Amino acid sequence: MRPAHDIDVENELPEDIAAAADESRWISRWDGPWHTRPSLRILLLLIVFCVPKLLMETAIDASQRAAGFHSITHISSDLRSRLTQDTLISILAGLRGVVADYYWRDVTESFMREDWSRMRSSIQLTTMLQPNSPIFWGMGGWHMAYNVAIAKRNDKREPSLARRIAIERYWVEEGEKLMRNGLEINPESVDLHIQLAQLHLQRLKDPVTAAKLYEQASLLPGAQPFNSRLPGFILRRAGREQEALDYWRRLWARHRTHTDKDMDWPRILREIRALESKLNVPIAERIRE
Amino acid sequence: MMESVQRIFALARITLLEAMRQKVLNILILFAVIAVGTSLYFSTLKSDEQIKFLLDFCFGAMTVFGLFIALISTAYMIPNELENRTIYTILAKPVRRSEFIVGKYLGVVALLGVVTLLMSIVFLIVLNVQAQINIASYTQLVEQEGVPELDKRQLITTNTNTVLAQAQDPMILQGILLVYARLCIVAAMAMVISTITTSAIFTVCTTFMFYVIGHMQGYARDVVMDPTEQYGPIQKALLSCIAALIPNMRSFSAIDEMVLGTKVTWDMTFGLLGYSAFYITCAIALASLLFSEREL
Amino acid sequence: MPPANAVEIRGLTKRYRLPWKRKVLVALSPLDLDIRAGEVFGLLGPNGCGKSTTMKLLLGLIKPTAGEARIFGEKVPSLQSRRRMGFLPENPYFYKFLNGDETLRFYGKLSGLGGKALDKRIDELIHLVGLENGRDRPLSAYSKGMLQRIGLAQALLHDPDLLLLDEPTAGVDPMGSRDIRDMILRLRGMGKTVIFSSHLLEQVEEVADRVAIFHLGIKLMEGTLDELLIDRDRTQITAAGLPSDAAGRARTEEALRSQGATSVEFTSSRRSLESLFMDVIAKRKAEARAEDARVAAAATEANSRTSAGDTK
Repeated sequence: MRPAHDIDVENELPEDIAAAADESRWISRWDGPWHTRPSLRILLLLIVFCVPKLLMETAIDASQRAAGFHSITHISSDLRSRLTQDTLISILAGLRGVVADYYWRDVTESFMREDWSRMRSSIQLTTMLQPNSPIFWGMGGWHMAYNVAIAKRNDKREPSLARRIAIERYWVEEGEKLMRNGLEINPESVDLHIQLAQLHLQRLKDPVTAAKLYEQASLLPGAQPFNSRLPGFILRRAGREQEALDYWRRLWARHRTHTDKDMDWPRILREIRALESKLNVPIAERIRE
Repeated sequence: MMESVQRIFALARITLLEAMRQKVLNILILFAVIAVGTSLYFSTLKSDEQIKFLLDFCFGAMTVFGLFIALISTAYMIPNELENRTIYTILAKPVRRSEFIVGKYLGVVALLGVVTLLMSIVFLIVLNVQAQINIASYTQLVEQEGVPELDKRQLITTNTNTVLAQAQDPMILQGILLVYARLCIVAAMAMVISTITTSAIFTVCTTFMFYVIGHMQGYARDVVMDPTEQYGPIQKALLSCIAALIPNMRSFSAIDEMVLGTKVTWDMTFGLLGYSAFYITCAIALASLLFSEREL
Repeated sequence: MPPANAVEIRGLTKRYRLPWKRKVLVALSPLDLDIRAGEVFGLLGPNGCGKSTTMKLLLGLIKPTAGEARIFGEKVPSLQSRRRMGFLPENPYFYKFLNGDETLRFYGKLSGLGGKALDKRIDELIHLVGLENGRDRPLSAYSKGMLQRIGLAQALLHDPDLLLLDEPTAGVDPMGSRDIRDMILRLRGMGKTVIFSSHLLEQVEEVADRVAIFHLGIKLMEGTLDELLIDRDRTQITAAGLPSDAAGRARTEEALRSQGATSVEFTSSRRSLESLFMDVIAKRKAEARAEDARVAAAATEANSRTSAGDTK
């Protein structure tokens, strides 16, 4: 609209120079009283402002920690990986849940296609974005320790059975690691405890660890009563009778009354008596009803 | 004083009106489509998990759409006013620079309020429809499985209660308020930055960067508040600036906690809202001071 | 007693620093200027000469490097001084999404008006600038001239005593330009002080009482038009019916020389293009009006005839 010769001095200044001219004002001589100097007022405002700001933030952090917030939900304690995770989560702003769900679908899809390496990286991304959802850790570990491991075991492209077994073992252990990692972040999750216990029992043939995990699960809020019977049975079936009895005794001692129907105390008592007689426990040391 | 309020109100009103007439709210249609789409897309999950994901998604999408609107509408405000020369006619009237900043900011806050409110309505509708669908399909499942009559009724009641407790949790209201407060903080940061630059793109990028750094501000604060930390003077100065100027966005993870089912009390919510109000007040005071010094 | 001067400028200076070029751009050299209350003052000069800078300094949109200015005794920049000023920027654009009425309402609120007083004021101004047809139209549909009018109305809202008009006729067609100049004269009639800038000298000539000429940020001269323009040594005679052949001219020259003229020049009188344009348009308008009247009369006649026929 303006003809070419039509230039103001102000407009003649390219934007960056105009900005620099602005800046030069900051250091320019101020001829008013010293306390009205703008740069001083800005500095003063910042100082007055940052002290209560920091105090408020500290108080909020403390109250959130007290309320049991998972504020530090890092999948690793390494600072760099913590910062990576934080950046990723905040750049995705609020959409990390959606992105995590997308990758979770990808886990299922790559499972169908038997694309194991892709499945594993999708599992890792999902758990990084949603570390507080035990379901991803549990299902991810289950995929690795069961589905992938068994597929590898039966994969005839590898002719050596010994090597196939080693590969199977590797995947089972990877699944176990993943679940352990999830358990560190979600120590309250009953499901994750049980899934890891099953993994130890069925895949690693380690009933002692399995029983320990079942016991931990049974102590958490929201655990089903039958969970608390499992460690005893598992240990006895594995031939660890003394440990089984010790467990029953602990369970017995934890409860004041032994009339709760859900717990099926008569059955527990039968189990205890059988073990006591088998292990020849002196009458005086036997559990009294 | 009354005149000052009138001027601020007039500026806020015009800012809101401008956004409305430029059809900013059309973005909400997109939000609604995506919200409904997502709830269908993820319908393969367990029913209570599904409600959880929907909650998580809706808070997330509200944040993303809100961030978009907050950043764009604030960052382009002063550059557009300068380009259209409307700012000259406004500041030639008996209007203080600070009134201009406060009025314009309140306009953005009102816009974000409208946007958040409308998104929340869509969100609650989708959530409750999904809850009803879940209840219905679970009931059907239980009927088909041939569970004994007594257990059947108990199972259905338990499921209905769990799903409804999630879908109609009063904590959702707290979550919405916190999402809104977070957006207002971002708009205030953008306002400060836009008073010292001429480029809207620069404002958008810098504000977003500050938003991201805000999630890690806690580390900087720990270093500054703990004298035993071993850092060089330059690093320490940089971290001090971050701790002093950038808000702690991590504290808004209270929203994520709600989704996970952690109890977030009203006291905590009010604490966060108070913190947001304090930060915003200071940021706008700073923006006013900076803008008063600016050559137009 | 109110101060006699509407504007007092003392040593007002504006420099922009270009740090890495180690250069200073002088937008306005130290300026002293007094503008009396009630006069129309023209700021003249090519673009970039310091006219806009002076106005922006008076409004407080930019800050002076040195010096000061007062508006009716109020120091600038201040809220008080802006209460008494109205400003029309060069090429004004307002919010395109508002209509004329809403625009004025918005600026009225900013000026501290409200309620019935504002409604009344808006009616007055719409009438004053002749924008009755633009009241409910959005500004995006306004022509350049209409924008200039709404800009003027906006500047007049709070009934300021001093008006700053930056290039009010730039980019406006001759008709609109004429209207704006008439408006300036009307404002002077209402006792307002008007400062306006222009790079079109003949337009300034018509309305300004006094002018200042700027170049590269420096005020070169200042004074009333008569002081600046009248060449006391030369007299221009415009006469009709003189003979145009060489002999006739020689006789006329003889007569003038006998009165003491030292040099005589003959040129055919030539009118300005603008006055020709205005005449032609006015004539055409009058014709169109006559034509309209004729058609209307004919139509009425025809109507009455048919209705008369119907009644038969």
